[in-house]
Amino acid sequence: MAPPPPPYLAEELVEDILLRFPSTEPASLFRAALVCKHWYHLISAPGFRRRFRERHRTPPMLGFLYRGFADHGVVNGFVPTAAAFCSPRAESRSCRALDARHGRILLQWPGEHSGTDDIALGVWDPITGVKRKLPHLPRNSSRWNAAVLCSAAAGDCDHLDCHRGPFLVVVVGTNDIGGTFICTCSSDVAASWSEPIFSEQQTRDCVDPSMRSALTGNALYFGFLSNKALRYDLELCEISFVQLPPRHSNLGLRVFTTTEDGGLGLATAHGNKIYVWLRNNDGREEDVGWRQDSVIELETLLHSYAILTLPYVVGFAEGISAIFVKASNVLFTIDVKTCKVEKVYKGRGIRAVVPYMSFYTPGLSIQLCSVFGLKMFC
Amino acid sequence: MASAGSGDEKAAAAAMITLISSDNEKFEVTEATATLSQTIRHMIEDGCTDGGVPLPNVTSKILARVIEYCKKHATAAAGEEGSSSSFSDAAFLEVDRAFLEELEEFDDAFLEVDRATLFDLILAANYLDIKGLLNLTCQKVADSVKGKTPEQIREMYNIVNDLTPEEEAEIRRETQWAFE
Repeated sequence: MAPPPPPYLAEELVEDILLRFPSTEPASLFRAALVCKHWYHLISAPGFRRRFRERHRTPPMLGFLYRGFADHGVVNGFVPTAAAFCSPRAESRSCRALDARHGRILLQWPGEHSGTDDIALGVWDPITGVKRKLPHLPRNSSRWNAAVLCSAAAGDCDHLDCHRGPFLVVVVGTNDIGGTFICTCSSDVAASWSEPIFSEQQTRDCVDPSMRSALTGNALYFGFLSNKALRYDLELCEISFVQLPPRHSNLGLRVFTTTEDGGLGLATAHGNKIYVWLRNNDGREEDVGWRQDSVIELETLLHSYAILTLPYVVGFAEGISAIFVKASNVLFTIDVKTCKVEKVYKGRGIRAVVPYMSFYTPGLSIQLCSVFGLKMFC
Repeated sequence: MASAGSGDEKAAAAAMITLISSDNEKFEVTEATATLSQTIRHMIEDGCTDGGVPLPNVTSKILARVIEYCKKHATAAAGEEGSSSSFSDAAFLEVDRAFLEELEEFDDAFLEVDRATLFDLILAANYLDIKGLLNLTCQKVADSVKGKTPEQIREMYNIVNDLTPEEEAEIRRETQWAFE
């Protein structure tokens, strides 16, 4: 007897099924888009993309950019973590990733204008391939750091699909006479740098360039080399300082963490333990202190990796609450809540990791590639 | 099974609803079981269930499975409610965990059906608006499709490839890495 014919998949069910594809495996939707015209149009429609985001809520980590030290100098790279997400290698190798947020990556271009000491920054959307260089910022500070975010950070945007919209870049620097300042550049206002906003507080302290900023609510935080963080209120454009928890960390490395409810945290590795601190009631502006939230024993989690060399923290992925920990040439992510460990990369000397979190579904890049004639994948 | 027995006893006092399949078979179920379906819940609220609820889109074979699902999940929900008052928090959590595990086992076994039945279950869950069942069945299909190539998906579901070679080449060119 001949086998029964394959069952017919009613069209109205296709979307219900495709919406349940894992957001962490973008390739699965791309393959499904090639099944037939109906599936392709369905998957690449803006409505599907919206429902897919609404269903999965948290953008997955598609990969991360790292910066490390090798025998021949500084190395930058991009490591895809979601199946089949691949970024242009040229940018990720020659540029330093300073920050990534709301689907955008902030890059520092290598000194094109040799002879000047200007800060050359650009914002890159790896999904559409669009790169936007910012006007050079005269460098009048010895140390500086920068952050990128959606312009509507203080507004109503849910940041799940705003990567093509206006963005804001915030630079914090410290000049030679102890003045700390903030400069901003918004993509929707003529793309020029704002006049610097100076902190009223004079300090001999300066910003920690290796510590990535954190965004909670309307406030951006930048770590300073002493035990302080600068808090920049995006709505009021005001600078204040908050004290950080006691400083004990392997290699002096610390990372900001954030919680789902908009709280600020800090993670350090000391000895073979990771200490996670949370700031008390972050909504208030005055310094409200910190409490130790958890201690993660690395010896039990990472076994021999943790014991061979001192582990240290190099990054944090918002939304999925994962701390990047380097131990014995292996880079791990550790989920702060569940302590689930994943090995994500093997390589020496990694000092800083900037995770790239975004939804990635068919339609966006294809349309834009056709329109702009861009070739964006390696 | 003990928990199912106590659920049935409780249900005996509750109102019964008659569901009528497309092939005219009648199924007597408790209101608690029937109202897992939002569609039937609304009919009950509107007082349209006297003389039975005709379900012209659902065969007796599929309806029997749907009722099996609803009974189990309604019993589990009732069991959880009942246990909350008589156990300490720790014991309650333990019971809760046991219920969830039992439900998961039930769901896994429930999904051991051929593809045609699975699709019929999805259609019925959609029509009857049973969120848990729709989620369960759609996820099962999604899990079985997500790792497949376009050719395998077409073969599995008898789909004709109507993309022109140019369109297909264009999509493949831009997403080449997805097939590495």
